[in-house]
Amino acid sequence: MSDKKQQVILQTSDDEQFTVEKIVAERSAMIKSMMEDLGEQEGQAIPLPNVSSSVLTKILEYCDHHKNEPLPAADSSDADDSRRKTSEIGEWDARWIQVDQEMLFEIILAANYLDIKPLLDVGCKTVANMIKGKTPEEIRKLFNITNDFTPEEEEQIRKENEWAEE
Amino acid sequence: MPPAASSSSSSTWVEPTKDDKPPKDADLKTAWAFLQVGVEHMMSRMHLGMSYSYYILLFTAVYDFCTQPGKASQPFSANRGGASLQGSDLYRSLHNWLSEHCKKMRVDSENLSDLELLKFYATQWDRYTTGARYVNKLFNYLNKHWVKREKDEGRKEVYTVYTLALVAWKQNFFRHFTVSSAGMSRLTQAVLRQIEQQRDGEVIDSTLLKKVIDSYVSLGLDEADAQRQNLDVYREYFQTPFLSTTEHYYRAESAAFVGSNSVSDYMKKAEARLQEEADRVNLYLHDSTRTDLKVKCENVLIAEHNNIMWNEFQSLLDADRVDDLSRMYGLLSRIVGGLDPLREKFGEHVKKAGQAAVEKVLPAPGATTETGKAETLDPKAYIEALLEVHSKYTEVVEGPFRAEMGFNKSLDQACRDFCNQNAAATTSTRSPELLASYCDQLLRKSNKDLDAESLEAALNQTMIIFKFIDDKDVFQKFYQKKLAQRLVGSLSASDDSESSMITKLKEVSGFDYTNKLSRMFTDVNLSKDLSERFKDKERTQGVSIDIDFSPLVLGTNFWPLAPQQTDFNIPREIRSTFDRFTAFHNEVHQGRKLTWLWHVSKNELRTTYLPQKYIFMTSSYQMAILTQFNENDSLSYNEILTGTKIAEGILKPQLALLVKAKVLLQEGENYDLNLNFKSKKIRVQLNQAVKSEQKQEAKEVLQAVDEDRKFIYQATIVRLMKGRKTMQHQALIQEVTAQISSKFTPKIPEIKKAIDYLIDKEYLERSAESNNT
Amino acid sequence: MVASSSKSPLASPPMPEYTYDQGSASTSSSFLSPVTPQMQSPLLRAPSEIIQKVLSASGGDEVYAIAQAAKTCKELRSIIYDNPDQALWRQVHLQHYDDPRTAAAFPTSRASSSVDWRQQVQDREFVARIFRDWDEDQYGQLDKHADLICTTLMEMYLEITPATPSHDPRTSDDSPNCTLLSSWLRSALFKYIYESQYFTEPEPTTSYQLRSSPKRVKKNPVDPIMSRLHCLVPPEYDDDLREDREWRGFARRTVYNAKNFREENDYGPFTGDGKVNWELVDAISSVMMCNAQEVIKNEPTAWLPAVQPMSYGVESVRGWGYTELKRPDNLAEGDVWDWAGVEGNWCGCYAFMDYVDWVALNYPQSAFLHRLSSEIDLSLYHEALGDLMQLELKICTDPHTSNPRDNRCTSHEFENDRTPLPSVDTDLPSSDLLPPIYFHGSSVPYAGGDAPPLPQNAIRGVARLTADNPPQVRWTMIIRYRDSDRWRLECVQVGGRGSKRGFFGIWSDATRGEQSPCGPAWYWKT
Repeated sequence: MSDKKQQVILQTSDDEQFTVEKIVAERSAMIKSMMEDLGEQEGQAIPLPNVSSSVLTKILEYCDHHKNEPLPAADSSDADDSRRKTSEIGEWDARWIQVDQEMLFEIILAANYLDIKPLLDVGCKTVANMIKGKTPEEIRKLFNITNDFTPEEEEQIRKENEWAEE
Repeated sequence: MPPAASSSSSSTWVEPTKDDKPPKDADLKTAWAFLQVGVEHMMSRMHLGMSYSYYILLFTAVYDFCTQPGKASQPFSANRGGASLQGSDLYRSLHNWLSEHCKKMRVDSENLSDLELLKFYATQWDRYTTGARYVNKLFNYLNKHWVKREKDEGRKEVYTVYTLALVAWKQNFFRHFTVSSAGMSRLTQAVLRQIEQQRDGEVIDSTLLKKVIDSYVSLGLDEADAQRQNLDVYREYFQTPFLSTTEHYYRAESAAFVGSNSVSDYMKKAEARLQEEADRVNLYLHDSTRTDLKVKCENVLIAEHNNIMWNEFQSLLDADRVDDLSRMYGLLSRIVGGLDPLREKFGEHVKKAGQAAVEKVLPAPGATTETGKAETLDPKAYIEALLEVHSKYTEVVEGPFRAEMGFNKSLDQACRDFCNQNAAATTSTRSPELLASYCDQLLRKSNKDLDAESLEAALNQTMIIFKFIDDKDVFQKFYQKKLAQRLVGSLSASDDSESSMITKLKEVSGFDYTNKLSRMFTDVNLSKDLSERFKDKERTQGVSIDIDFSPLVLGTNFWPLAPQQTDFNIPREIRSTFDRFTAFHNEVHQGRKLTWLWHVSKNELRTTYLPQKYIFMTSSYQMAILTQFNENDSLSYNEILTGTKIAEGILKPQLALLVKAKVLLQEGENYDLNLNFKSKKIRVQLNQAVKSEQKQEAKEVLQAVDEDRKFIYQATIVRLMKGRKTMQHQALIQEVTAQISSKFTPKIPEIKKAIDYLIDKEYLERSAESNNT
Repeated sequence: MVASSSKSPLASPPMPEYTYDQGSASTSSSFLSPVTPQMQSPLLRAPSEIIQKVLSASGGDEVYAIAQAAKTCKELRSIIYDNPDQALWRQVHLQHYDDPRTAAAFPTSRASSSVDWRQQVQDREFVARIFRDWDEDQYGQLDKHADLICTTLMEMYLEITPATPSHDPRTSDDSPNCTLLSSWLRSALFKYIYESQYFTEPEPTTSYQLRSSPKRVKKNPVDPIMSRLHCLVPPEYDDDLREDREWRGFARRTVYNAKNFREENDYGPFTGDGKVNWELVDAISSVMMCNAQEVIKNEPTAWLPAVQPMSYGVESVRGWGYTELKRPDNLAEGDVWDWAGVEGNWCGCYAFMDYVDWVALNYPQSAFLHRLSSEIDLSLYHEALGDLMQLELKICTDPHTSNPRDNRCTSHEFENDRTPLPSVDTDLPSSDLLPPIYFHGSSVPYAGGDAPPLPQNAIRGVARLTADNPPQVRWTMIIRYRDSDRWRLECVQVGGRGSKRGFFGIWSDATRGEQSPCGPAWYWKT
C-alpha cells in the first residue's frame, strides 16, 4: 500500500486493528457518511463493536476487490423495489462467498450493520439460491429448522399455498 | 449510564465512552438516555466536534436497538423483532425530543421583533437544519428500514428523520409566531416591513430575507412524496399576505402619483415599478410567486388606470409620439383586453387618414386641364396616396406596436375600408379599375421614368393595394383588357416585368386567377414562332415580299377580344398575303378556326403621292379606306362603303379621323385625297382610339364581370348541393357567401337570384316538407 | 399469554423463552444463544429484515419457492403470510411484474397500500401456470377460471409501465407485463376463451331461398374485458379459413351498422354514459387490422413503415417516444399540456362500403333498392379502403375560454370569418381528470407513392377523457374539405395515453343527416 493513499484504521470487537485504504473502508456507506460528517481525524481508529476480526478480514477482501467500482447511489432507499430480477452473483463473488453457513450469516449481518449494500445483496442471494428448488423438508434440513406445525395446521398450510400447486 | 447533566448546555463537554453505551438488549429508556445526549450534541454543539468512536457508539446503539429480537411480550407468530417493531419507539422518542428543543427556541424568541427576530430566526434555522442533517444520517438504519416500510405502507405522518425535524420546527416553533389577533405571523410581518422599507428606497439585507423566506419553502412538506416541493406553507404564511400588502402599497402610491403627474410620467413610473417587482422575485422570493405578483401589480398599476391611458392614446397618435406609444403598448399589452380600445381607435385613425389622403389628390370639382377638358383623377396619384398612408401606419405597427397581430388586423381592416371606399371610389369597382390603370401606366413602354429595378419595386407596391381590394375579379378583367392592349400593340415596357407581375398576382390569388393572363403571354410568344415559320416558308417558296406582315395568333378563350360586327372587304393589296397565311395556319393547326380581328391590327402605309414620303400608321379599316384611293383621288361615301364593306357605325368615325388629320378632305358626300398633306413628323399616327370606344370599354368590362359573377354564384351553389343533397336556405346562403368572399363581395339578392335560376332550370328543387330548403 | 392482536388462523403457540448472552456485545458477533429449537438455525436467528430480504430474493427467482418456505415452520410462515404489511410480496411482485404504482393509465401515482400485492402475485402465478402448462384437452375446464384469467390479464394490462421516451422496443423489453401479455394474448388458449363467447349457426339448408352465410352470433352479452384484451394484439387473419371470414363478417356487420352509432353515443364506439364500448372498438380494430394485413401485401412501401410499431404486440400500447406523461416542468401556467401526445404526425385510413350496399344493409326497406340486403354476405364482401392519409396536428388553446385574439388557431380552424364552426363538443359525460386538448391540423395523402399532392384538408378536433375508470382517451375530429365540414370522427385510443396503436373509431358525415353513411377509421402516430 502506497503512503500517498489515505488510510483508515478499523478496530474490531475483539480489539484487533486493521489499517486499510480509505476507498476500501468507504465501501461501507456507514463509515463513508460518518467521515463526511465528522471530517478527517488522523490516527483515530474507527471502532466496529459489532464485527469480529475474522469476519472483518473476510469482508475487507471483498471491499478491496470491489474498491474501484461505483458506489450505489447515496439515496438508494427504493432500490429494492425498482430492481427486477436480482442480478446474478458475479464469478469472483460466488467463489469468495463459499463459506460455512455460520460465516455466511455473520457476513450478511456485518454487511447490514456496515451498510455495504452490494455485499448484503450477494449474501441474501446466496441464501436464496440455497432455498431454491427444494422441498420444505429439504429446506428444514439445510437451515436446521424444526417442523413445529400440528397436523391440523399442516392442512391449513396446504390450503394457504394452493395457488402454487398444480 | 449517561451523565445526568448532559441536557443542560454546558461548555465543558465530555464525550461519553463505550462504557456508557447501553447493552444490545437495552430497553427504550436506557437506549434513548444514551442517544439523547448525542442528538443534543449534534443539534447544538457540533462545532465542538465529535470523535469517530463516539459516533460509532451512537450509530451502533441505534442499530442494536432496531435489530433487537421481539420482546417477550410480543406474540411469536405475528410480530417478530427487527427494525419493523422497535423503530416506532425510537422514532417517537426522537420526535418528542425535537419538539421540546423547538419549544425552547420559541421561548427565546418571544420578546424579539423586526430585524432582531429575523436575525435570531435565521441563525437558529441554520444551526437546526445543519444539526438535523447529522442526526438524519446517524439514524440511517431507522430511516432505511422502519420509516421506509411505514411509508411504503402508506402510513401518513411518518417522515425520514430530517423531515421529522422540519415538522417539529414547524409545529412547535414556526407556527407560534402567528399573533392570534392580527392573524399574520410576526415573522412574516417582520419580513414585509423590510420589503416596504426597500420599496421606500432604503437599503436592506436581502440575504437575510432570502434565508427566512427559503425556510418557508422548506417547511412545505409533501405527504405523498418528500422529493416534491410543496408550497402550501410558503403560500399561506408568506405569499398571501405579501401580495395583499403589495396591492395596498401600489394602489395608494399610484393614486397619489396620477393626481399630480402627466400620463406619460405615470407610464414611466409604472414601468419602473413593474421591473422592480420582477427583480424582487429573483432576489429573494420563490419563483412561483412571479406570476401572481405580476398579475397583482399589473392590475393595480395598469388595469386600474387603463382609462387615463386609453384617453391619452388619440393625442399620442396625432402627435406621432412614438416612445409614449411604445410604452403604452408595453403596459396595456400586459392586461386582458387592455389593447382592444387602442386597436379600435387606431383602425379608425388610419381609415380617416386614408380617406383624407384621397381627398387631397381628387381634382377639385369643375377643375379643367390646360386643354380645357375636365380634370380626371390620375391613377398614379391615387394609388400613391393610398400607399403612403399604408406605409406610414405599417411603420407605427412595426415600431411601437411591435407588429402585434391585433394591430396588424386593425391596420389591414382600415386599409381595406379606405381602399375600397373613399371620395374617389364611390363604387366598389372604381378602385380595382384605377389600380389596373396604374399598373398599365407602369408597364407601358411610354413609362420612361423608371428603370427595371424601380419598376419592380413599384409593382410590388401595387400588390399591397391589390391585397386590400375586395372586387378582385373586377381588377382581373380590367387588367386583362389592358394587358391585351399592351401585347397586341407591342406596348409593353418589358416582358420580364409583365411576367413578374403575373407571378405576383398568382402568389396572392392563385393559379386560376392568372391562368388567362399567363396564357395570353404565352400566345404572343407562340405566335412569334408561327410568324417566323410563315416567313421562312414564304422565303423558301420565293414569294416576293412586298408587304411586311406580322400576325398574332391568339386563343379565343383567353383574350378579351371579339371580332366586331361588320363585314370587311379585304383590300386587294393584302389579299394574297391573307390567303397564304390562312392556308399556312390551317396546315399547321388543323381544325382550328382562324378569325381575323381587323379592329385591333395595325398597319403602316408608305405614301407615294406626296412630295415628302410619309408613313401613315393606321388601323386596318383606315388602311382599307386609304387603299381605295390607290385607284382614285376622290371617292363618294357610298363608293367607300361598297369598296370596304365596313359597317357604317365603324366606317364613319374612321373617316372622321382621316378627315381630322387632313389626309382626306371632305366635301359633302365626297372625300378627296389631300395632295397637299403636310406633317412635321415622317411617321403620322392616324390610328387613334375613337372616343365612344373608351367609354364603352369600362362598361364592357363591368358587364363581363357581372356575367362571370352569375356563373360563380351558380357554380358554388351547385357544388355545395352536390355535397350536401339538402340544405337549409339560410345555411346555403351563408356557405355560398363564405366561399365566394375571397373573390369578391357577394350580394345576397344575387345569390337568391342564382338559386331561383337553378330551380327554374331544374338543377335544384325545393324540398316538400319545408319551404326554406 | 395469548396474542390478542394476532390474526393468525393458527392456534397461538406456547410463548418461546429467550435468554440473552449479556456479555457477548464486546466479544462475539453472534448475539443470541438459542434456547428454542429454532434458534439453532442461523437463518431464523437473523433480524426479520434480513430474512425478508432472503425470501424476496428467492421469490424473485421463482415465486414457488416462497410457498415452499412457508411450509417449513411457523416462523417463516408467519413472515410470509401474517406480516401486518406486504413488503415481502411487494418486493417479489416488482421482480416479476411492472410496478402498478406507475401505471400509464393513472395520471397520478398510486399508493402502495391500494395494491393487494400478495393477491396479485398469487393470481398471476396461477394464471401463468394455466397458460404455460395446460393442453388443449384441458380447455374444457377453462370455464370456471375464465373470470380470473380475464381480470388478471386486464389488471396486468392496466399496470403496464409507460415507456420512457428513449425506449426502443427492438433492443429492450423492460416491461414484463408486456412480454407476458403478448405471448398469452396470442395463444391458442386465449383464442379459445374469446371464441367461446360466440356461436356459429350451422350451414343453412338448401330449403332457404336466399343465399345466406352461416351467421356468427353472440351467445350472451360479450364480456367487455374480453373485447378489450382482444384489441390489444392485432389478430392474424387468414382469408382461407371459414371461421376467420365469419369473424371478419361479424365485425363488419357491427361497424357498418348505423344502429350501433347514433346520437345517444355521439355516433362513436361509446356507451350512453360516456364510457368506451369495447365490443364496438374490438370490431373496428378487427376490421381495420384485417384490411391493413391485406393492403400491406399490396402496398408495402407506404404501409409497412407506418404500421411497424404494431409488430411489437402489446408493446405498442406503451407509447415509446412519448414525452408528455407528466406535465413538463418548463411549461408555463397558462400553456396547454399535451398529455395525449397530440402534436406531431399521424397516419391513418378509413374503410367504407359502397353507399348502395350500405343502405341495403341498414335500410333494407328503402324502395329504390334493387337488391335485397340478405344477398350481401359480409364474410365475403370487400369494402373499400381509403388512401393512407398523413395528419399533422398542433394543439391550440381552448376555443371556449381563451381570448380569441390571443389564440393561435381559432381564427382559422374553429371559426370561419368570425363565425364559429360547428362545435367539437359532446354531451356525453367525460372525466375532468385532465383538461380537453383542442387541436387543429391538416390531412394530406401519405407521400409514399408518386401520387400528385391533393389539396389539403383542414382538421379540427379535441382529445379528452372518457367517463371510464381509469379514463380512456377519446378523439373527436372534424375534417373540413374545401371550406366545408365533411367528416366527423369519434375514436378511442387503444392503450391509453401515448399508445402507438393509435385510435380506432367511426367516421360519419359531419352533418349527420338521415341515412348518412358511417364506417371504421384508424389513425396512429408515426
